[in-house]
Amino acid sequence: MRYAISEIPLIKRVLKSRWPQWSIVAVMLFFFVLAIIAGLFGTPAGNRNFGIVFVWIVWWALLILLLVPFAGRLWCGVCPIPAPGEWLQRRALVRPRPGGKLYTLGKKWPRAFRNIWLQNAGFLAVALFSAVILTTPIVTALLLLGFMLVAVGTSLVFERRTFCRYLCPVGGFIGLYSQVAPIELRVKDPAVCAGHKEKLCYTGSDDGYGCPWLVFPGSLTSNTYCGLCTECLKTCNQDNIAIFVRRPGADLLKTTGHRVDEAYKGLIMLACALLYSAVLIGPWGVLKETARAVGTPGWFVYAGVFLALNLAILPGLFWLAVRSGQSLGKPVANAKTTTGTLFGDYAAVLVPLGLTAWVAFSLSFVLVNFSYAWPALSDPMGWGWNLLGTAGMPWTPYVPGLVPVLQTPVLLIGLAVAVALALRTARQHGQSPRGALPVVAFCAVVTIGLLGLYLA
Amino acid sequence: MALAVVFIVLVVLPATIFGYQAWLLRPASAGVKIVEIIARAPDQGGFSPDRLSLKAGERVRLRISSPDVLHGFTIPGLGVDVDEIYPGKVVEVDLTPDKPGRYAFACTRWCGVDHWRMRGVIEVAGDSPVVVAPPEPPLFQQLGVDLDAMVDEAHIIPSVKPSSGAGAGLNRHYRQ
Repeated sequence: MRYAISEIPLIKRVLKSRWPQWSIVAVMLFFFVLAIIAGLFGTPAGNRNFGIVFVWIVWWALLILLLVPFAGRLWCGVCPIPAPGEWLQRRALVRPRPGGKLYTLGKKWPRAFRNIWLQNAGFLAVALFSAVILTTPIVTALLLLGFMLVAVGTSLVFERRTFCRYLCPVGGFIGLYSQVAPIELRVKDPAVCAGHKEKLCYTGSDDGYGCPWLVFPGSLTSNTYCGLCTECLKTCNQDNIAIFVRRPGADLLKTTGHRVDEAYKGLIMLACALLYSAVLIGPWGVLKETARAVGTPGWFVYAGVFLALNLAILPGLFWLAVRSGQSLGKPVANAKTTTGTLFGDYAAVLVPLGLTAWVAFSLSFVLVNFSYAWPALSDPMGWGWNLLGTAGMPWTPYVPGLVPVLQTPVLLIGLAVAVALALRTARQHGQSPRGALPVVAFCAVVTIGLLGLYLA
Repeated sequence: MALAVVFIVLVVLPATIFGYQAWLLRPASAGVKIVEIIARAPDQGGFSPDRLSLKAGERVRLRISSPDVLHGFTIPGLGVDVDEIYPGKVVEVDLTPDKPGRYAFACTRWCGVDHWRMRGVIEVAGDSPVVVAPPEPPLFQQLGVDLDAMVDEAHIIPSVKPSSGAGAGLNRHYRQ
């Protein structure tokens, strides 16, 4: 049940042309550079600094509330971070060089790191220091600048968009949660790809570059590693690639290819949603103070608990749930499935559970703080400007009473989908539904915990 | 055209930002001397600068901002009173000191345990001899409260002398 939206003539023209997408990237780069300058030279007061307001409130809201759930990795297709490195790598801004040639050392990323473990580590590092990053403009600016410099460096040394594929901390979770989105980029007919010798979508042509994400579009079965850069759509001379509107969450129904690094990504995101909810918006001010006091003994305790929850406690509890289910749900057929396989397969429940947890968490601060955007537009540096006449607009929380009304159904929807996935996984492995109960209980406890934090 | 766009983003944008700010703060050609004052919590240094040198009859625009907490600003001898300086906002005060003399300025919003020490001095120079009636001592002086003998010591003692040094100098003047 899917519809090839890219076959609509206007959309096809826009996607085939390079200028529309490039223009959006250029606009994003403009705001990105402005955020860095504001962070480095503007006011240290976070709520009056463009870098803090437009990165951690406006962009984050757009990303987690709209882009990822409804458009998957669309942000990756217009992200400014890899742009300068890619332009240097291509020695071209818009039109491709003949044959899609790249000017880079072209080294292959080490095999041992061809997974998302580094992205997991990167995200954990950012999350650990987030109480400082999210509130200190200069730290945000240095972080963004650091991302861009690493992206430029990897573009010149490694092939294609190695940074995006294996290093970007943001891309790690966007990829995971994009499985929920109701759009996908896939081939129209796999048989066409099978018979096509040149595989221009991967090798490149005069019309475009080979897939920067190091993916063969012909074998794409999930949104996780497709960055929606649409390079393949431009390059394919068989007109066999399209963007489809599909049933949401279709990727979560796949029965094979579940990986431990992806499972850990789901657990890390869930753990961080829980921690952020408690530390950043919870009622225990001492937690927030401790999280900000980097380098103090209290902070080291916080860091230890943070990392333990992410890497050991929550994964351990999930593993226990899976293992218990393995005992409870004796297989109907005489099939033997390892706990490791079950761990990876049941990890699909973490996607809807984690995404809705992040949506609920984001709702709590976005609606309350979005009004900071208006003064930041007029006075991005906090230097007393008033470019658009909105510098004096006061902080106004938008419908704060509506926040719990929105959070509750979001969390319950996530729980419902997670439970359905858990039961489906049990069926796939020939287990009785009882086998899914411990994982269902895990999901329920997490949801109740979040509801308790938001509603109590 | 793409190269022009990239040039605008990477070069013109930063240049415009700093150029616009420089134009806003352009000094005497606009007939006004612009002075930036940053008000930080006392344990982070207080007012910076905490000592200003002006000329009698000179038009001055004070641009006061705070990077941390809410402050207030007053120059009783010049009739300046700013109730609130919110973090990240810039408050502008125009004044023209007529008479030479020394004028204290101080924070008027509780900003920390050393709030009472957050003060500075404006020295206005001029041709006419200084004929300034000594200002009324601050209330804590009138009440005979010795701030330095207070039981609640500041838990953070700055290594860099805060602007209270200027205030302490005024205290010595009163005691003479």
